[in-house]
Amino acid sequence: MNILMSLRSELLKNKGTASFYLCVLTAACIPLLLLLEQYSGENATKELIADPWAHHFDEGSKGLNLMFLPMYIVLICTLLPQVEYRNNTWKQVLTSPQSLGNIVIAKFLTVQVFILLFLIAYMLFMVSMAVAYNFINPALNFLENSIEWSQLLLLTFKTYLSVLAISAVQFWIGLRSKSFIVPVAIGLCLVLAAGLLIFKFRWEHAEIYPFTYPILVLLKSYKSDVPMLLLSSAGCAMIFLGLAFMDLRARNIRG
Amino acid sequence: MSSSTVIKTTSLYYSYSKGAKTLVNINMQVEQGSLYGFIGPNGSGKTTTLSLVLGLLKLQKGSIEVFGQELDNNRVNILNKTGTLIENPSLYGHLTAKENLAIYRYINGTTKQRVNEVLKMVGLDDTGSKKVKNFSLGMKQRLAIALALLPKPELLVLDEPTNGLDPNGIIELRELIKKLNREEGVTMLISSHILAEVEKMVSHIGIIFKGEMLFQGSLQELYHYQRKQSKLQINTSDNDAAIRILEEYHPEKLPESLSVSFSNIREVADINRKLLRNELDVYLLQPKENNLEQLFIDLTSSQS
Repeated sequence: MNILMSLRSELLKNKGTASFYLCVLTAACIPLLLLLEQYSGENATKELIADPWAHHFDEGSKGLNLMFLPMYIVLICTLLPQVEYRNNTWKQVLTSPQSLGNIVIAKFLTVQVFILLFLIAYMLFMVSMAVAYNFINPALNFLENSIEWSQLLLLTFKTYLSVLAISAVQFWIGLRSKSFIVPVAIGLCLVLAAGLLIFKFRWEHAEIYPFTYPILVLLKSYKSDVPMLLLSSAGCAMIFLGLAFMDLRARNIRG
Repeated sequence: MSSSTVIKTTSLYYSYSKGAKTLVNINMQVEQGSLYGFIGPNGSGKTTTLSLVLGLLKLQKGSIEVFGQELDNNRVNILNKTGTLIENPSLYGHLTAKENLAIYRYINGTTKQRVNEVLKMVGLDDTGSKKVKNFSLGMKQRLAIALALLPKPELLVLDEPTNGLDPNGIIELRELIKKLNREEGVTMLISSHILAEVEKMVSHIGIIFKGEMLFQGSLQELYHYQRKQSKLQINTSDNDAAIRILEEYHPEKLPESLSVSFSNIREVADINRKLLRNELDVYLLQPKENNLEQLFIDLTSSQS
C-alpha cells in the first residue's frame, strides 16, 4: 500500500512534464518512418501485401528494439530523476515519511510505467497509422487481414523484458547525476556500443552486455537463447536497482 | 531522556571534511510544547544540525533521539509526526499549489480537506491553476510552510522560515507559528540568523556559533543572563578615586570614564550614593542595558 502511495506521488510529480510528450512523440516516430520510408507505392513489398500486420509489426520491432526504445529509456531515466534536481526537492522527498527503499522502488516503477505507456502508445500508433494509410493505398490490405493479438502481445512482452536491464542501469546513472547531459551521453554511447558489437564486430559474447538484449531477442541466431536473455535482463535489473539503492543510501548530503 | 523531551542530541560532532569541524559537542534539548529558536550567524552550523536531526546527513559522532526514539532506526515513524522546511522552499514549479500538496498528501495519508485547510492557513487558497514557478518568493515560502503543516505534525522543524517574506508576511508567519504552538501544542524548532526575529515568539533559545552551542535555555534565562551583562557608565570629578570606591563592582577603566556591571537597576542608586558620600561630583551615570541583539553579538564576537 505504501509503495502504491509513493508511486502515485511520483506519477503526479511528472504531470505535464516533457516525459509525457516524449513518450507520445517517440512512440509515433516508428510507424511514421515506416509509412514514409517503406510503404509508399512502389516500396510496398510483396511480404507486406501478403501478410501486412505480421510484416508491419516485424518491421516496427526492428526500429523499436534497435534504437527507439533504448534511446527513449535513456531519455526517460534522465528526465524523471531530474524533476527533483531541477526543483531542488530531494531534501523534501527524503524528509517525507517513506523509507529510502520505497523512494527508490517508486521511482523505478515510475520509469516502468512510462516504458509500458510508450509500448502501448507504440502499438496504438502502429495500428491506427496502418489503418489510416490503408485508405490512401488500398493495395496494402491491412483492412482485409486481422491482427494476431496474442503474437503481438508476446513480442511486446519480450521486448519489455529485454530492456529491463537497460532501464535499471540508466535509472541508476540518472538518479545519481545532477546533470542532464552526462547520463544522456553515457546512455547514447552504451546503446551505440551494443549495435556496433553485434553488427560491426560480430562479437560472439554479445549476450554478456545487457544493452544488446533488445537486439538479440530479434535475431534468429539467438532464438533458442531468448528465455535466458530475458532472465538475464531481469537479473541485471535487480542488481542495478540494488546498486542504485545502496548508492543513494551511501550519499551523505542527499540532493 | 525526560518523557517531555522531543529532541535530544548528545555530544553531536560533525565535519564535512577532515580537519574542518562543523559541529562540536552539540547537546540540544527541545522540550515538548516549546517554541525553540535556534540562532546563529550564517555558516554557524544550524542547517547541519537540523539536517542531522532529520536524518539527511549521516551521524558521525554522538546520538540523536526524537520523540524518545533513536533516530536511525525509527526515521519513518519520526518523520510521520514531523513537518519540515529545510533551507529553500522545495516545490515543483510546473505544478499548482494544490498539486504540490497532493504529492505529499498521498504519502502522509491526509485528506483533501486538510490540503484546503493548510492552504487557507497560509493564505494561498485562491491561487487556483497558477503554477508555482509563477509564485513570488514569499508565496513559495508560505506554500513550503503549508507543506510542513500538512501531516498535522507534532513537531515542526523550520529552517530560516522567514527568508523571502515581506514585513507583513513575517508578522503573519510569526502569529501562525505562535497560534499553532499555543492552540495545537505543536513543538517548534525554528532556526534563524536574526535574534530579534525569533525573540518575539520563542520560549527557548539555543545560540550556536562556529559549530558550538554558546547558550541554551529558556527566554527568561537568557534575559537573566542579559541583565548580568548590563553595564553602567560613570564619569566623575576623580575617576581613579571612583574606581577605588566601587572596587566591589569590579570597575573597568575607560579613556574618559569607567564602567561597572550591574544586575539590578536599584544598584545604580546605591552606586550614586556611594560616590556622593565620598564627595565626588558625578557628571555621568548612564545605565547601558544590553539588549538581546547586542548580547548575541557580544556572545558570538567574544568567541571569534
